[in-house]
Amino acid sequence: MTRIRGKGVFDDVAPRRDPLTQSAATPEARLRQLGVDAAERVGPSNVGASKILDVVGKERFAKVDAVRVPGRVAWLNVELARELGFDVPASGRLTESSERAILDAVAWRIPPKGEEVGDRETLRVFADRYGGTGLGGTGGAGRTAFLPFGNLSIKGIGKTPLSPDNDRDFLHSHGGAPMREGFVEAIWGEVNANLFTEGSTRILAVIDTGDFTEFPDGTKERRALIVRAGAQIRPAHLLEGLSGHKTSGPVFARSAKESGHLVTRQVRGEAVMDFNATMSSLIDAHAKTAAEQVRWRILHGAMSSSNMELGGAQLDLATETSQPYTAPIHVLKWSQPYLQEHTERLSEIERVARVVYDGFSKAERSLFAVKQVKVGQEFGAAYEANLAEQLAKAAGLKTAVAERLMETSPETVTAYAKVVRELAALTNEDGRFNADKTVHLDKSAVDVFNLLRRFPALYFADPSADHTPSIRDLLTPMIHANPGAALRLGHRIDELVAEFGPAYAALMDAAKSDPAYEDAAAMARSVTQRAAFENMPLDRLYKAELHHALIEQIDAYAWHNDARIFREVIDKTVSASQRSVDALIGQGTARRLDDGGLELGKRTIDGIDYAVRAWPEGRRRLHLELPVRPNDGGFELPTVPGAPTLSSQQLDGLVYRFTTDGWKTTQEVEARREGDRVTFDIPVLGSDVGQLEGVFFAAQGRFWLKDGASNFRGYSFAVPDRAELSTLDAALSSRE
Amino acid sequence: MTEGSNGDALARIVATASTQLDLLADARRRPEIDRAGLAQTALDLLLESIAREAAAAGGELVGFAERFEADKARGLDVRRHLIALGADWSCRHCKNDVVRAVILTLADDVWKPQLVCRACGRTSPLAPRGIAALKKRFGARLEDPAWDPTENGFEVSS
Repeated sequence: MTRIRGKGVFDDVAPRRDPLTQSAATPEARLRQLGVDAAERVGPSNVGASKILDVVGKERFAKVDAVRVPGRVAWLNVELARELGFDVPASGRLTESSERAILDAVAWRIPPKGEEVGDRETLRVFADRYGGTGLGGTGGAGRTAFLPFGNLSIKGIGKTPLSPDNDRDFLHSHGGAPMREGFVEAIWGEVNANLFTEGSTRILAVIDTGDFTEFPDGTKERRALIVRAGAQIRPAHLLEGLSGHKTSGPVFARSAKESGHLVTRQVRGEAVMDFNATMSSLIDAHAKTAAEQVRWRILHGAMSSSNMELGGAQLDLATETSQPYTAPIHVLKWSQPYLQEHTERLSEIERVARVVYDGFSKAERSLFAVKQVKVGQEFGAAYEANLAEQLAKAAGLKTAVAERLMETSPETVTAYAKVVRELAALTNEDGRFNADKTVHLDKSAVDVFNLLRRFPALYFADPSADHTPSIRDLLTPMIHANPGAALRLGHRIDELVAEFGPAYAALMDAAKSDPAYEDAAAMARSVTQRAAFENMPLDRLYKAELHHALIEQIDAYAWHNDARIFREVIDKTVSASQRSVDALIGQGTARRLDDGGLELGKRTIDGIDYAVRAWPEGRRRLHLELPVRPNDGGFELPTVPGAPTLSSQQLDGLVYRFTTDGWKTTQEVEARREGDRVTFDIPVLGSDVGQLEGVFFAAQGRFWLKDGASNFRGYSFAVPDRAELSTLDAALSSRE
Repeated sequence: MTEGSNGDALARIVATASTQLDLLADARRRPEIDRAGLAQTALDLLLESIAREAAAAGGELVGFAERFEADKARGLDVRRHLIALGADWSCRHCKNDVVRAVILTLADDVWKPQLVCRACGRTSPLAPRGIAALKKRFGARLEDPAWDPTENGFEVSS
């Protein structure tokens, strides 16, 4: 029993991730979220030790030596690399030495059986053992291994000792990972980090080692080393071998602690785990992720206890897809479709809970207050509540407001959510539809998220009006069923249209006195802006199209030998797919300004510093900065690709022509010189949200520059209103 | 102008044009982009680039530069300059400082400007810096009752 006790074992639970205030998190807290032990500075950039080795336990890893391999960085997550301590130029363009540093850290491969290591440099790496379904006979990570630093795992590192020694199962035994999968995971990792409260594993880099997988039919696919970051603690780690489940208790406790879900109670002055409360927290986190998937119209596609993190974060993203409407799509043959995928998650968690429960001794059950967990019941209730809350957010309400309404007016929220769910489930035909290679445009009978996206503007223009015709129009009924079914469908749509208006009005009425809204006008602005932005379809992330586009880019890369191709497609896809207003407010870093304002969402993208600046009295600015330095009688822009030099006159006459509405309208703002920087300030209002992109040009001519390394990359932003600013202020204060 | 400097100027124009082509190609891959709007910006910048080179070249090419400048001034869209016109301004009614539009009223044959607040939709007068910015861009036209300000993106109140 002492194995899960000891002084401090249950102290220092990791802080939970809060998308809205993430920018106020300390660097140490951010590293901990990534599974990095900042106290133990090891690794090439002193990034810190991989915590997973201690959390899951070294005995659950197969150790093997990898050899250094030559390669090139096909894509790098510049901001994540900086967070992990790598020295990456502000322009985001790797120099020879910065690329060398990345490769030195992550370009490793496990040599195939029979290959001599010779005098090559080696590194001990760790393949994690886990159990569960869909493992293809492996004992865990068959082609992935953790580095001892950065909590980085390399997917496609080669056959690990856990890979089956079985050539008949080619897919699970060749040890490689497709480059395409690296980019898919890179995109989804960043998008998930924006969309999901519990976050996601993310990709640090995709390394091209020049290898290919040769399939038995003779076809070839380009491989890569896919460098993955994040806690990466899977429920399946608790299922390792199943027969060994009696050791799962301590792993569960440590894992829950690192995911921030460990709940403790005091026993004789000592903090000890409260098992059931901890399980409830984990169940709620998974229910929230499942509900968020519905709200964002996303399917994971391959749910299993090894394809998710214990704390509810997304993991293993190669099958993930969005969709234009709300059709019951699936990706793998055996998987549950959209609106039902949560049932798979539930059955996986049930299995894990059972194994952990069975593993406790009698004494541990007493100490940790262990009772049988009714996972199905708890998950079901949590899913229903979370989905109602998510759909209230999809109506445009702030997270805090939706949460409070679930406490104060649950019937109002669930009544509205019920109508939305019924509309979402209307289809032209029964069944489930494979979205692996097809984007399904004709299965859903209505576009319910278009209604949620555009209705607030109409509603707040005249809340007491009869909006029935507009609601029907905004649903854009798409009925392709046979005449009889079409008639029934039409009637049902009419019924739901009639129910939606009053349900929506009741929801807004319940929210209008919430302290998160300064007044009625502020609420109308906030709801309208959030709904319009967040309910846009994720139209670059349909699996059928995204994978095809990436294959084309990989072909182009092979032809042109230019890795910038990937930066262009990945960075822009991510930028265009961020939808969570809370996460945009909390993106980047935050700091106090000398004049009492806060600078939020600071990010350096392709050499340009972007931020949102906000002051308590209401002033808001989008703030851009370009560092300048004197050079040969002119001024160099050292962080911008190509480091151009401008004359003093050109610099003073620098203008930024920008758009926040996809170039429907443009405005211009003039530069201001402030010491060693030129700055641009764009007035905005609280609750504004959008994507900023533009061109810099000198009014005196002969110079102009796009705000991206290639074409427009843009800066997605969300501007806090007074209440959100106050929350961020408090978060910064608690850090200080 | 020498042959070499001609070549340099052409190279700069081609570089500008080439990047505009990149922009337009990029827009074709982005369903959310207003291609007409982006194409207009691309054309503006290309013409600007050519006009600058023409002005620098001197001689008869200056005529093109002058024509371009005149055309640019004639077609100036005030909606693109709301930030300069809103300098030091805040709405008299709600204190926000984001301008949605500029509204002109003709009184005694002079156009009187007001700014429309994006937050509350009400109007209030420009600050001195905003007036200076307006005069710099539209100068004499503000005293021309025959001018149609709507062609330059203004709203007009009777």
